[in-house]
Amino acid sequence: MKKYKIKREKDSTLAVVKSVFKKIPIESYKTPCITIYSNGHLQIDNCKEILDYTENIIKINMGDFNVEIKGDLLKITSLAKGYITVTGEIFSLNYLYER
Amino acid sequence: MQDFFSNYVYFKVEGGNHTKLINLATNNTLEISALKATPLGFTGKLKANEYKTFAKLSKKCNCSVRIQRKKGIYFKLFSLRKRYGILVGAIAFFLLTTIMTNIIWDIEYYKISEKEQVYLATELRKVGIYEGAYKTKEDFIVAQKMVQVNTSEYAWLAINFVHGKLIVETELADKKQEIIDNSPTYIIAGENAIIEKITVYEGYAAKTIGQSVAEGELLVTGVAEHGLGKIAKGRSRAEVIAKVDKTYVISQPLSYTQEILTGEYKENKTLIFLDQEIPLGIMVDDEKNKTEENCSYDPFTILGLAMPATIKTQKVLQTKEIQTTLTRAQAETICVNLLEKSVYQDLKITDIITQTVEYEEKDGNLIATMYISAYCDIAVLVEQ
Repeated sequence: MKKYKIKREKDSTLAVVKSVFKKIPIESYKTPCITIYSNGHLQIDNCKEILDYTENIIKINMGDFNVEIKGDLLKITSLAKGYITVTGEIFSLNYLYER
Repeated sequence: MQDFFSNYVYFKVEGGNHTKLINLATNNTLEISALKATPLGFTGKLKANEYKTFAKLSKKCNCSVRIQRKKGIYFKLFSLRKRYGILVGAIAFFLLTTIMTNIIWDIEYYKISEKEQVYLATELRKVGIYEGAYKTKEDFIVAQKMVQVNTSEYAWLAINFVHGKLIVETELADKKQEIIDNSPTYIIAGENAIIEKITVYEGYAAKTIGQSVAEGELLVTGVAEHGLGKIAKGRSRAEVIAKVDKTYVISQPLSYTQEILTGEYKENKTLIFLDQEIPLGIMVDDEKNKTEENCSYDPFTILGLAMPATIKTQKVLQTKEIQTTLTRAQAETICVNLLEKSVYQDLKITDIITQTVEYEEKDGNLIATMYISAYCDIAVLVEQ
């Protein structure tokens, strides 16, 4: 059997170092982000506003779309501008697109 | 710890557009936490200093906000804001615990009789050692030496200060043997007199019987010259009986005002603490009858517990003025008594030859003159 070597383009060392110190684009910080933790935590970053808040439903405006969190005994443990942490028994997370 | 020092309010929002209120609060950078939905609104937790802004925002959303609970050290201390006693107590406690190491709380006399204790307490007080005094280590060393110098009865004296308690230990000294002084002495005449009898026990007589001597004249000398030109020095001891003629005059008013003790007294009590005298109660102001002899010092105790202070009790004896009018006979008796008192203080009488008293009334006074002729010992010992 003849062995074929896969040829890879070798990056120059300088390019690697540059990529390490490359500035992360500012847009990446402003992107809406939802993180789900296994212990029932839900962390939402860069949201616009809360549209509805009850014990069972939290509806959040994320900019291009809305997010609807359904559950029981939902609690917003911390709240700051564009940052929400939700705890409680979360049943579902729905993306709502307005078209 | 950070949570203990942070101040939070737990609030309750009802009615109105409460979701709008949440958004407004976040836009105004208010940090709300522990948000929990209720049927009419929500409850949450907010920093105490941000609550005012939050309450203003709630009006825009037609929501009613009520504080449910306050938490934090500020609110805990706020309820105690008018309890000055706690503050004073805390300061007093701090001061006592920091300076108590140098304050005398109690003085204990180790194996010392009660009589000696009273004496030592007085001596220690003279050098500033008493319950409630603030003293340093150096002060105790100085006080110990001063007491030992002032009192020659003690072989040694130890003052040990441990945790506010002063322990005094002493040992009585053995009786000192008297030092026999062999320096030469002289005997001179104490009065103008005529010598009747002279008995020399030691020394050499300079006068003989029948000679008249003036006051201060040499009677017996301890220094004599031998025939070989050597001087012998020694003590003088002699009894010189001489006839003395003397006159004493005294004046006694027949009517006068005198202050007599009523037998009653009032007490002035003062608390001595850190060299300060704090009066306890109303002080009786009678400077004439205030004497240090009528003062007693006791340690200040509360329910038997020694406190770092001393209570000084001063007895002020009460007096009253009375007008006394003497009869001639009474005045004469007083005069004779006073004259005899001064005669016996002045002369060492062995035998009275004659004694006459003459009286004369002048300007409301009775003037008594005593002429006395007596045999007296006129020897007065003089050191060289």
